[in-house]
Amino acid sequence: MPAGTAGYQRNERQMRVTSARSRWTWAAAGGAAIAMLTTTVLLGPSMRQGTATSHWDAPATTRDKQVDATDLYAFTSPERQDTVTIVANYIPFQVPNKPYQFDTGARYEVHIDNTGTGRAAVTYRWTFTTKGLPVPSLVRKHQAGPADALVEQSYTLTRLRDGKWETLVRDGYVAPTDMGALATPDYPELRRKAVRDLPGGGKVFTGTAADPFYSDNHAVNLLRFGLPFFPVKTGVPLNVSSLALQIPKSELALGGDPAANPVIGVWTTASRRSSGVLGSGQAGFKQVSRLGNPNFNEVIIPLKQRDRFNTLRPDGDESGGLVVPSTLDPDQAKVVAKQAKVAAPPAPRKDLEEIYLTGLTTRGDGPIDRDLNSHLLNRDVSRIVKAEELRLNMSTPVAAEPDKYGLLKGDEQGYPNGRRLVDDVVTVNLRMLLGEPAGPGAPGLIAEDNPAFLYKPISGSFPYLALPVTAG
Amino acid sequence: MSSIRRSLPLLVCLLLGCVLLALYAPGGALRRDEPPPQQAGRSPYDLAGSIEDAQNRLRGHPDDAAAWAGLGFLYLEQARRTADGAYHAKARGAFERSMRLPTGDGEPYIDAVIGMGALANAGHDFAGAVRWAERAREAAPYRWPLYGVLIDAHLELGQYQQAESTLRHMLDGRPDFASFTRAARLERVHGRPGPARELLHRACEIAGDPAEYAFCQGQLGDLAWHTGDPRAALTAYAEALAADPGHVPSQAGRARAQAALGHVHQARRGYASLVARAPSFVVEYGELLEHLGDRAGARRQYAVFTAQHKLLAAAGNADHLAMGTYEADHGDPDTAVRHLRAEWKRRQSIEVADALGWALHRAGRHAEAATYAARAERLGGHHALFAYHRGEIEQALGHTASARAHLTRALSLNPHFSPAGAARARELLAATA
Repeated sequence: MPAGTAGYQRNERQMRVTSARSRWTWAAAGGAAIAMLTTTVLLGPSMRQGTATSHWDAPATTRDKQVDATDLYAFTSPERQDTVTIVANYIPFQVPNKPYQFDTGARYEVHIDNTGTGRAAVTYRWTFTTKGLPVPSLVRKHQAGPADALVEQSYTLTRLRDGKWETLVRDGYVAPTDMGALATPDYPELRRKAVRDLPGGGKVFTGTAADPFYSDNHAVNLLRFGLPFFPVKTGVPLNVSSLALQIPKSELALGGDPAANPVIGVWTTASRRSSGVLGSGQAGFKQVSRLGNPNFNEVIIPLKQRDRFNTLRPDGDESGGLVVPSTLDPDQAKVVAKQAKVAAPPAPRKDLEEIYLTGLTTRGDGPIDRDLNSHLLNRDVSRIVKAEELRLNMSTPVAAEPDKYGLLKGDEQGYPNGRRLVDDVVTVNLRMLLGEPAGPGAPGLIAEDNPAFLYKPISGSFPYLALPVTAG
Repeated sequence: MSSIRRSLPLLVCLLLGCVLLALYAPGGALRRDEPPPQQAGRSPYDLAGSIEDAQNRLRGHPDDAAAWAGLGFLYLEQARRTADGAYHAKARGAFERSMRLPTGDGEPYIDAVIGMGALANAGHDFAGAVRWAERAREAAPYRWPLYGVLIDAHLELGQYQQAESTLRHMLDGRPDFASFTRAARLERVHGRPGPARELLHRACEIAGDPAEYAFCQGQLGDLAWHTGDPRAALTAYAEALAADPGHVPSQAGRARAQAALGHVHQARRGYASLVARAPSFVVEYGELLEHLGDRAGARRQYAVFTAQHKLLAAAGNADHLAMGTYEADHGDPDTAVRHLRAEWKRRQSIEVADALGWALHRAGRHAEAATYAARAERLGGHHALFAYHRGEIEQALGHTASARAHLTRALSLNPHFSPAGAARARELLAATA
């Protein structure tokens, strides 16, 4: 039900597998739906029990897609290894050829912590303006209509560093979705137009792309067991709206020195301007979405606290009484272990704390004895706090042959050391929840030769994301 | 014909799916130990399809409390869209099943608790909705949808202070579609159409699917209507219906606005096709017919209303507000007073205060009527119909000056507020000039 948060929907997504059989299942389902509708129409109200009517009748559930951060990626750019690419994806489940917009009443941000304090040393902030008349976001059924007209947005990108805001891009071009030759002629050119150089040697891309997310069906099913059932269906490739940056490592590293201080922590937030009511009250921006490690909110944080997690900042994680205890003893570990008929390690899960809250290092008290991506590995850091961030060691060499299971298969450049577009993070998270890499875990649970793959291949240069999926 | 039109989106979706399938099907990639994927090629907004998926999921995992709660909400939404009460029973079944299943923390699954509250609101058990929502708040104060249930219930119960403080809390914690639309409603109740409009525009911008978009455009239409602008209302309703052709309140609003603008044939056609789906608008339709001189047609519509509400009452779901309002205008005023006194005991909202005042006036008890009408206005009922009612009551009490003031206010708020009422208000004003 109630959506609007980063991850409920995540687990609804599945690797798309199709077969002749599924085609028939699907056609039959569609037919049944039509039959049902027709019957309803023919029988009319005389067959109905009826409902009481004199009340305000708002939708029972809401999907707050525009501020729904679905995925965050951070990796050393393979063809420009002095830079890091960060991709934050919002607005999941975009139907091909449909225009979707960012919320013009929101701030979308990517934060970088290079000190291990849980505080952002650098923040990149996007705000959006809709060109022309305000036209609704997404929301049209399948019939063509005036509101399916192309809606263009522009953005402003600012950077907060050392307490100072600096505008990096003004009136930036947001790549719309590919709506066909009439509305968006020469689409590849539009994509090129949406990739811009930033002062200092970076690049930015903002706009619609094919959703690069994929995972193993079985892993998704297991991990989502006991999670809210979300009434949004996928199964065909869909699009997302991406905020992508390629930034010189020196801009992100503590002291500007990526060799000495290679570890950064990354997270993305969306904040929306609120409103007073009856002439008083606050209209300030409220953080409504937070995403660092994939699945963290829906797997580690208990359901009742997930909306709260979305409002929290990493620098409050250690003392906040929610993130640390939830990580040390996640309910979901027991639920999944029972469902998969395997054993999960007993609490306290210091291994999960090391993975999600401190990063891997031999210099702390974590059980994973390996120096990989803790801020303690930075020369100029002596003390860190526990904070949930996607930690990337920018000095880890780029793997010649990336393994989708990342660290679990000895590929140190993969998740949870940052996250690449090719990493199967759902399976990795599932296996870590069940004890790897600190202990033996249950590596055989997901067959490694499963045909899990990206819908559309990523490209070899920034922003790597495939062009939007189209309907035909 | 209409069934074809309705199925069209599905057919198009089917077609689209086929195209996608043809383009992207990798073929033979289905794993043997997996259930066949249920979801290829379906629109993400396909409610009936989502219900089926949830049912399929539950066949394989009958202990999934989350899936049961999710199914309950899908049924609830289906009931809202089809006005078919049978879905309420199904929703209840799903929520109750969910609540019986074990969860990680040993407490009932929280969304099912919230769902029970939403269901109580839908069945006009507003006090029950408050209890469910309070229970949810105790267990999970950060589960924001519970506040929507709570605010709706407070507003229907006439507890405007509680509604306001709850809303402030919600806006501080989670500014979103649910909180913006409810804030707009509260602004409107307090006669502040400007802020209400602004909030609804923001809600429209962040609507997550066609039904949500249609809902807030419909609200914008109502707002324009109530501020005397049927043309703007018509535009908003058209926008709502472009997104969701089945949006009943917008169909009704469109017919209402068309009638006000003199497009009587369109309005009649609109009402006629509307009441076939949503009998709750039969009285309004009948009133238009009556105003146009078609008494027999009006009587037929009133008969549908009476029959419908007999059924509801027999099922234990009497809607006293609707019945009382109907009886006051078209039936027996004493019966109306009985219904509305019963309703007033349950809730002291602006709407009930106005309806009870009007029924008392129709039953000849003008002095008592005046206290309720005044109360409706004091609570914040900036509503042309309520002002008209007050004007009539004052007139009956011989307070001509006051009556004129209220009647003038009614016509300035919305000169089209009701076909017969507006004409009568003008007559009264002319007669007392």
